[in-house]
Amino acid sequence: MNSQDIILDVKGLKKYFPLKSGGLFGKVQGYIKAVDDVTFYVKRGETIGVVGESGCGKTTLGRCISLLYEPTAGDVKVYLDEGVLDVGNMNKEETKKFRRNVQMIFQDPYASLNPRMTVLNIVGESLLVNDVAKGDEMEQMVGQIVQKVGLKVEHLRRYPHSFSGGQRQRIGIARALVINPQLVVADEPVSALDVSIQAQILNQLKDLQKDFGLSYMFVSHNMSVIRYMSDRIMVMYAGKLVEMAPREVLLNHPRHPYTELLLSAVPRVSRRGSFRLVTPGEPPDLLNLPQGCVFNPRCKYAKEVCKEVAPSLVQVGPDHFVRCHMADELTLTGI
Amino acid sequence: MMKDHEMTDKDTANTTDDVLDGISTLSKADEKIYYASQWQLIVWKFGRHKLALISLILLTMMYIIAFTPGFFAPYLKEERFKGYQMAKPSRVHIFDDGKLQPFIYDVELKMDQETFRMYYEENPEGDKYPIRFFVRGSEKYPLFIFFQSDMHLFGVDEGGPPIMLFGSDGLGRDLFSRIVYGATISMTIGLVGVTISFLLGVILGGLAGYVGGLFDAVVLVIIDLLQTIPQTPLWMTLSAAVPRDIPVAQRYFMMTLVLSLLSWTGLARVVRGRLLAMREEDFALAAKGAGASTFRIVTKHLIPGFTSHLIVSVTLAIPSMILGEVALGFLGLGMQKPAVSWGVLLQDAQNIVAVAHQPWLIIPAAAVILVILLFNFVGDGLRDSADPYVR
Amino acid sequence: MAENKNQLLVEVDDLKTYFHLHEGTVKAVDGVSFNLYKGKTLGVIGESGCGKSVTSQSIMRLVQTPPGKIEGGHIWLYHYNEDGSVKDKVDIAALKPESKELRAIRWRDVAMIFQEPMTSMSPVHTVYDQINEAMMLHLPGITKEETRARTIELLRRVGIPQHEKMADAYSYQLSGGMRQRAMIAMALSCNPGLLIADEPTTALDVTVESQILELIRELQAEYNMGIMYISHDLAVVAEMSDDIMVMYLGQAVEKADTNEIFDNPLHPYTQALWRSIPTIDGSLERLDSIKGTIPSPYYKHSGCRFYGRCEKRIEGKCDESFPELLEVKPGHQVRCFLYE
Repeated sequence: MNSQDIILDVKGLKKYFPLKSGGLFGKVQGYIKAVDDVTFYVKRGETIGVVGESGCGKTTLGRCISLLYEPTAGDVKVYLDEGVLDVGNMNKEETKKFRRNVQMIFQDPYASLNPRMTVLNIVGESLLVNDVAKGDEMEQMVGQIVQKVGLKVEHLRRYPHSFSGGQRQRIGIARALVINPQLVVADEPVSALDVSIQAQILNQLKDLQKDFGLSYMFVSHNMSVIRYMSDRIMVMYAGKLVEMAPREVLLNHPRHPYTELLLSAVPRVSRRGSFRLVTPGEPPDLLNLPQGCVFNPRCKYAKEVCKEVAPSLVQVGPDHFVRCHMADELTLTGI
Repeated sequence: MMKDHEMTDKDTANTTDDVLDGISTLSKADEKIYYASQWQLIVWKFGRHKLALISLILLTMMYIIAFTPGFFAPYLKEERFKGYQMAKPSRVHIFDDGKLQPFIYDVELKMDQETFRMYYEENPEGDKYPIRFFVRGSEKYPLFIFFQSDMHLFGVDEGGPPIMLFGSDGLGRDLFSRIVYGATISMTIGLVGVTISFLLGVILGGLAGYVGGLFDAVVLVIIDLLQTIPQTPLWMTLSAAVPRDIPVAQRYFMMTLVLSLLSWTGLARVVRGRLLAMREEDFALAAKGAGASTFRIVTKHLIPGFTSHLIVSVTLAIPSMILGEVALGFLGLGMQKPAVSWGVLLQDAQNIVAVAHQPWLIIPAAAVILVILLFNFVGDGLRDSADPYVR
Repeated sequence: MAENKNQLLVEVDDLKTYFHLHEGTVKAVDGVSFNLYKGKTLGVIGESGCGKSVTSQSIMRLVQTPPGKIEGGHIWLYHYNEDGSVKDKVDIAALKPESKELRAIRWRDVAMIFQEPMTSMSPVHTVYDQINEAMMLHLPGITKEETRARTIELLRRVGIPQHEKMADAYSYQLSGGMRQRAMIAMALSCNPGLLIADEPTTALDVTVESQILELIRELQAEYNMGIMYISHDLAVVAEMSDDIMVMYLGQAVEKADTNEIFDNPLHPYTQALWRSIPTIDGSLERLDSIKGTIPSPYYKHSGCRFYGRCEKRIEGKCDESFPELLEVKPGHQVRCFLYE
């Protein structure tokens, strides 16, 4: 694969949160492996969807990529027009360059906007702290991006409390895009919004991607939204990447039993009244992960080997990776 | 419940104009809320809290009085009236022959023939002494440190009997005047003490919450240790250690130190907890993602976020300091005579017999209760309005 | 029992629930009528502020008063004799708040499950304690042994593993899915005729959601309950319901059976909503978004409440008079001037 096409290359990314006992001399009693050995890449101009249930590590992964969290281990490289950034070893200048090029959109449009700042200052903050623009110039740039996301220049002096959820999310998008980044991590950007507003934001994100040539890492628990937005899809389970494939391949020919389970569980308008595949088991307890494959207790195809040996991620087709011992033996149902 | 609703509807109120393609349905008054900063919102919300608002106005008035006691008290704090020892409160007659003209009669000392107790009785046959405003007193008193004045808000013309709204003490001093003078010490000792503990709390709590690690652990242990010590005994021990024969000003300063030594711990905990919680808030993360430095995140995002909450904590901490001064003064461990504070005044009410016969001696306690209630009402109002963004 | 499948359980007639707030009156539910039948599910779809939850809370009389108040309409609850004839009917809307009659109706006739079972279950009582209390209150003459046995049987039925042990667990010891199962067990404890489910799976993961949805359907088949299923998720409602009511700003804008309303939506809001939602198996064409946002609850509409966002609005008509909910086809009602 040509590295020219790739904007983000991640190898063996880990994020462990230490579990401490309380008190003055709290000892580390173990780790929550929120993200465990995740390897993937994002191509320039595409949207990679990250899907999974609560606790699968998708949000932590997004936050590691946008450096809100310091990864525990792993190799993250960002390929920009002006050179490569090795995220593990960046100096101050490079860190600034990274911030200018990798931005994040948050899930909760209420919590993610500082209620005590005006729209101008919220959106303009990254311009200001990265020495891109200030004063009138900043106001002009903020005004442009705010109009681009469907708000009005008159709104700049308002505070977040004067906006509805959808409008707030637009402010969040403007904040991420004002500095002209190349990669945007969108963490559940529509899940807090009313259904009639979701489509507006999703379409807006698609339009902006076209206009600015953005690459998206789109994180969501909603398979339907992921399907609408993504070129390729990553499925995560208990901190691990279990399957990654181009959209149509993943949806129609999944190779991991968890992907099959997830697809069958998604409610469908077309299924009206008919019963679905019953899916046993509960989401994994990150404090108490099973031996072997993390999915084996819920997997109806599990064999002895799955209970003992953890499978590794293997390539099974073009851009198609699966973490399953039996990927070659199973024929699974898609949508 | 109602309050939450109010904020959410403001939230969505503007959406109508978008819905109806630019047709604004909102009055100018509604629109100004969109441009309102945190403080404006807090002020508006506080303004709706009638009890708190009235309390705040009353408190402000009381502080004005506390800072200019000489003007509001009809007499000086050490002014003695011979022949009026332990006099009961003067009876004020509002109407003079159907005309609005408050006046008092002189009193006579009499003796109960059965119990041989001395008591005062009004002499309605005697002269009427009208109460006048802006009366000149016998001596000058210092006003705002630099000025001298002999003007009093109200009083009786020279030559007349003293007007003693709250009676007098055993040395013939007007209790009302002394309560007004006592307010200076009693009401400010809380403010100064809270300022000191505020500074200590914000600095130590802020560093603990922000630096974390060992520093945090050590501060927490100190806080825990200090909080295990019962407040009143510690205050008593410390103030007993303060020399008795030092000037009033010095003693006042020492007392504030004693009072704030313990109360900073509560504030430090609040600051630390808030910092820890807010550091994880999405908007702080978002600022980090925008590339903001740690210093900027703390000063621009976190501190403005909890200042309003700190003000609430401070307001609610003042009453306990006022009570502390009163308690120590009452026990003779706080301010010392000749200084006048509410605690010192209440020393006269230690004796149950004295209180039984001169019940007005406990009026200073009423002043204490009033101030503490007012502070608590204000604090409640502030607490409700401190976070105008609750959904 | 099966012959009673279409017995009318609850008849909601022109229900009006208003909230009188500092800023003005919010007509959260403004003239909504529908019927709930034994063994059938009515799905209620709507976005925030459409009044779907307030409607269900009105049936349970859980609307906080003040500021909320039922200002008009009736909620007729029917009781039947053995032979299927109507024994009596009670207007829930007219009962005194917290009266004995009302308390008898809750749990016994109508039970409810919520989005977050944590908040509706006591954290200081075990699962058994809570179910026991409900049964003791509503099933006179039942003994402690019977309630215990019935609780364990219910927990087994809703799929809680180690149900004997779990009966003595506290709600915080259960996972989200298990809590929702326990809540369902509690709701079923007094054999209610009607179950109101207010977004019961919204807080759950999709694989757990599918388990709960299956469970509710199995239990419905078993106990022949009527269900009112409230959700903002079209697909979930489509899977669960026999009939669907779409609500917008306190009013029902369209009512029909599930197939009809999905295949042949009539109201412009319903049509737009269907086109604006990404699906797992449908077209991948660009979504048609509904422009604008949901108007403020204080906004005084001079005509159709969807007017401002409607693509098919008739100026001079839709903004000046109020459309009525009319039956345009057998079993298909819509509130829109396009079909008059």
